[in-house]
Amino acid sequence: MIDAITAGFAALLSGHALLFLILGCLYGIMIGLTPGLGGIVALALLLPFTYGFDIVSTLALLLSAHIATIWGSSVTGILFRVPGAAKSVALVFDGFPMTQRGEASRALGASATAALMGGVIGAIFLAISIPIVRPVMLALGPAEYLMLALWGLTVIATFSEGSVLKGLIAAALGLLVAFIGTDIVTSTPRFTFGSIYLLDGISFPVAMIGLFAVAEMMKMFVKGKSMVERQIGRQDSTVWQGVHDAVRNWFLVLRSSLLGLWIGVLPGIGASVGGIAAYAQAVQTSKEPDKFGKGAVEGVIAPDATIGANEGGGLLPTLALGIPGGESMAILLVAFISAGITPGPQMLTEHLDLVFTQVWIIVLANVLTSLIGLGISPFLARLPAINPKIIVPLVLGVCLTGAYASHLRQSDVVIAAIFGVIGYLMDKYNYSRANFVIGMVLAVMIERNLHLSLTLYGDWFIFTRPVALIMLVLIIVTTALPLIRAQRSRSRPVRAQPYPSGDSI
Amino acid sequence: MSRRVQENIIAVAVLAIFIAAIIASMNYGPRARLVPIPIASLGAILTVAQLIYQNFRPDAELQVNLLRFLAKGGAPGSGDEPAGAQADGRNAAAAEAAAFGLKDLAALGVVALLVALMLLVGPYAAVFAFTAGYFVASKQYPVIKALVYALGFAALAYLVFHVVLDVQFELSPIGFGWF
Repeated sequence: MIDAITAGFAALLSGHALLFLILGCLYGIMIGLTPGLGGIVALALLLPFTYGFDIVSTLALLLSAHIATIWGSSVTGILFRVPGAAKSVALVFDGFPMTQRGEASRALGASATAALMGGVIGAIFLAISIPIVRPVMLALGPAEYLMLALWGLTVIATFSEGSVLKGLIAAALGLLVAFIGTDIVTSTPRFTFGSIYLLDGISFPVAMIGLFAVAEMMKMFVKGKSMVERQIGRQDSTVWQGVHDAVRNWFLVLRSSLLGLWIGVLPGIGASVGGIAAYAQAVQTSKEPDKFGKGAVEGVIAPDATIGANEGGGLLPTLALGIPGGESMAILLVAFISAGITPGPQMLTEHLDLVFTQVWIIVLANVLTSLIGLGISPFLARLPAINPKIIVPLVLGVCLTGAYASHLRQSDVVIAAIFGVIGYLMDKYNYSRANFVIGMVLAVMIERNLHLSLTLYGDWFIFTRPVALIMLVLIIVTTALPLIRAQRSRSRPVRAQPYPSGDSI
Repeated sequence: MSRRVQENIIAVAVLAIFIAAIIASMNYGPRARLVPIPIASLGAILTVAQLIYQNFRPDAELQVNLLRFLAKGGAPGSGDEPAGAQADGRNAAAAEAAAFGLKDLAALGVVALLVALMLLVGPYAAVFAFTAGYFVASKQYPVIKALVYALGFAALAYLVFHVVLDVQFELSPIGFGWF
């Protein structure tokens, strides 16, 4: 274990890794600060640039960009009232009132420090969890992994934002898209319609670029005006006040970090719930709950610590089970698969040093992001709105050039555009793109483990593997329970939900 | 066209995809269709259920608020969330409810234009022409300024992809082989 920890750090010091880590942080902050461009867009755009580099450099670039983007998205929530990611929504509640009060620098300082402390706690948790999780993972067989993949898929679909049915439909569509190409078991071409190009299947990075980056630019084009309008006011605070606030509230940071870890370990839940759950517990445990919503610094510290720690927790199911904790983790999985590494039990045996490399990347990226963040916060507090008329052509150009560059196939440009339209329509009609992507990523795991289970344990394997059977029951319960609760809540008198327009649904 | 009709069109299109997948899978061997057929069938059943729900029940009944679910709190929109969050939710809902219209078609056109340019003249020239054209058409910059900025951006793209990443694109292949 100690060898793996030192080897993980040594790998980071070789080649391009450290340079990529710094570049990733700078890039992530830049993208995160651009309202409308979320973390997933940042990662989707980066994927084509990682080809040809070793896996450590690729991970350094992607993970550091991901971590920096999260903090950047908190900044836009605090400054512009436009959170760059769903997980940063809670930052708006007190961060923006602080900005309006002239305390933007203090809020940003508290945000960066809390994110750093949470991130380090998350990385430590990830490191100490590995020796505990490893024997459990190694004891599971293909039948249990099949159930884990199905469980991850249903939990993600059920608990994602919006309609449960639409979430499940999106996941099923993602699975089907992943079946395009040559079947891994029988070598049968499936859903290729005679196309040679489709024999290789749909390229994950190209689909990601389309689903997220192109679709976001289409959304921005349709919106047609600046994502945010902001009057830059006076500044009556300093960054160091925020740093002091975060350190002074260390117990709140610790509680929020532990909450972030717990939520992060559950696949698919962390992204949208972590920040709000942290905010809720901060309100519930505060001696002065009335000040929340009016610019309480604790309302910034708690969500940021949770979001920071969430990454360490989210990496655990991604690396140990091969089940992505969210869309960003799905992109990390794509990077692994592209490098010929399959996350899962092998990750904890054959590539343990790589796991610890990621722990180090999380720590270093958090430190670097926070240092940069603290340095630039006074300037960020005066950041004006960014014009989409400039962003749209530039990002679209990079997106499609990146799609072309990923495999040097012109057809990928067309595929990225098609997925862009699909992503745009899914977003417009509330079919979760995250579920679609996670369905795509989990399809191989589901199919491979099903075939292995049938071969090893026979057609009725589910009844001969008690752990798998219990997991199947859990899947049914966790999928049905929210629907049953929704059904029950209908029978209770609930205030009418106002619809935006008469015929909208 | 009302939002409900649009939702129905999308759901029917999704249903058609699932049915097409089931039909196409019938031609494969038993092993090759072992997973796609159940997934497509399940997807089709879910889509039919969605069609029924969206036409006969309010959408809010299908929403799951995980925070409330975990905390066993109040009903959605019952005031548990801060005022800012509720206002944001309403604004987001209003934006989501916007009908598919000319602007959406224009967005499709913009993407299609860039794709066509990339396929016809190659990526760098396409990036230059598209960016300059977009700046001018959106009245962001006057023509000269737009050309200069677009040239700078295309040069940057060339530097990153060609020089740094050593990506060698095929140039201007009008009439290349589709797929």
